[in-house]
Amino acid sequence: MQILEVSDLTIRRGQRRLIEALSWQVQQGELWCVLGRNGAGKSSLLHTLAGLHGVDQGRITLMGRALSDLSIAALARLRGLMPQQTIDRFSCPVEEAVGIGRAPWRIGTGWQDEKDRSLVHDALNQVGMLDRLTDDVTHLSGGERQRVAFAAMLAQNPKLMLLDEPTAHQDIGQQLLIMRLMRTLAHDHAVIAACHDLNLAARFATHVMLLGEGCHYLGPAQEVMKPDTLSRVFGCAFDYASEQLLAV
Amino acid sequence: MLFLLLLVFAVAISCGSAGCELPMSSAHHGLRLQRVVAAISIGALLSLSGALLQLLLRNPLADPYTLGISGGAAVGALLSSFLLPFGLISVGIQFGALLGAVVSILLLFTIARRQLLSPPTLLEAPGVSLILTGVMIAAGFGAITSLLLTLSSDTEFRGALFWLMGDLDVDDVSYFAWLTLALAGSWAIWRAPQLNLLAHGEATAYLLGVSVPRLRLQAVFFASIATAAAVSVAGAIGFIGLVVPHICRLVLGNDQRRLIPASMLLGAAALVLADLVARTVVAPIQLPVGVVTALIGVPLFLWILARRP
Repeated sequence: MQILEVSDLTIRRGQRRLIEALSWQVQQGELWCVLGRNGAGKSSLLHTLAGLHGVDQGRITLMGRALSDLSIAALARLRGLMPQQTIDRFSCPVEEAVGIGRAPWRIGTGWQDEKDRSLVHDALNQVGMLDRLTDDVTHLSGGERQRVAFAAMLAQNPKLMLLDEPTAHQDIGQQLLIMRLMRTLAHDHAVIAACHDLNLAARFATHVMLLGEGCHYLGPAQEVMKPDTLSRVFGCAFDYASEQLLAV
Repeated sequence: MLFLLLLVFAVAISCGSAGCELPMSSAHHGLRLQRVVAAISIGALLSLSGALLQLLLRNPLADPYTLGISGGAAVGALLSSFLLPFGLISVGIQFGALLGAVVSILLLFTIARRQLLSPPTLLEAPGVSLILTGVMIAAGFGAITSLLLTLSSDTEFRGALFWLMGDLDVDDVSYFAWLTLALAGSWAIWRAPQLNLLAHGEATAYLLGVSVPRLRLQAVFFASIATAAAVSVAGAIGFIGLVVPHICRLVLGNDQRRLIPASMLLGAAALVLADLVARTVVAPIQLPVGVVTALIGVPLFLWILARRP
């Protein structure tokens, strides 16, 4: 099932063109890793897909409907975005911070029912934070807070999941857990994650997008992640290495 | 909590600067009832406005005067008390204050139009420019207030000072304050689930289906008219709108569905109590209630601040 279709999308930031004439289809069952240098436009792309920025040029279609035609409430059920970092200004228990993900599905007064609660617990269990249910989010470490944000998106359960550097603040064990979780989620969702770790992307992603200076490469992971393409995008040399120590 | 509130009201009506009395004499009783009724609405308005602004600006230290509305009200009140003939003064001050408050709300909405209507972003600090705009409006009106005070005579000065400190010496039933309270309070309770999402950031709220610019505009509007109504009746009574939502948040958490009604109730009780103290503590002299709220509010607030992690 096709979930996202982008045609001829151009994203500008000031004078710079970050992404030019991008045409792209994302199906259910695909885990895309978006790779590129700092400032290449990974976050801008995710924010644009989520509807946070207007589209200057090009067209984005989500589940067969133009992004601009969907209401804010309808969008909230179709796509979710986990931002690069979450800043909390008020104390709030972990359970509540995950529970906000249920908001788009709740009708009426907004009090949680049993079903919401079990979905929230299930989401926390998947990111390994179920034992922190009553902790205050302002006391969590950066990595833990990110996993709570991930759990909030699991509770939201949108068809299209956008994640901005989900592995950034995680230790190696948690990085693997999150990549595996995204791979599992991709069975009945479409998952797009901005990443910095090429090795993780090569191991877990079904598809890869490389963002270079005014150019992009996209396709199945093995086809795109070739040493010469990667060197062109990142400006450093690449080679295959064997017998290196790997977490598995 | 409701019980506590009723108890406070009963004590406040039966006690006055002439001492406590039971059974109540009807003349004193009527006057005190009017004061207590006004104090309830104003305490609730100020706390509601404070709770909304703390949430909207994502700043637990915001209060109803952060956006500079009381400054305009002060100038309006002073101008009308100096310009109008003596007989019209008490009505004139209220009207003048209201007019001044409306002018500063309009000023705020005009200057901060772009920030108020801007789409949500993940960048932090949507509130900062709004706060700065408010601070500047307050500073401008503050200068005009000082100018008016230096030009005033001694008796005018004393009356003006009472007003500026916040004074509950009202002589009619505060219908306007109650009407505003009903409007703003029911809006806030109705929108509490969406306000809850806004507490997690504007972009998060948008991603979860909240129309952020509209909610933000409405929240600023209702917080502003709540402040304007309170200030026009009783002057700039400080600290209620800052401390009360803060205490409620510490006790109940940040769920607006509980926090907003609780803030209104506690704000009403706190102001009635403060007014009771103001009337009785150095009787027969009456203190401006704003002095009492500040004297209690400052140490309380510093204590809360010291406890913050």
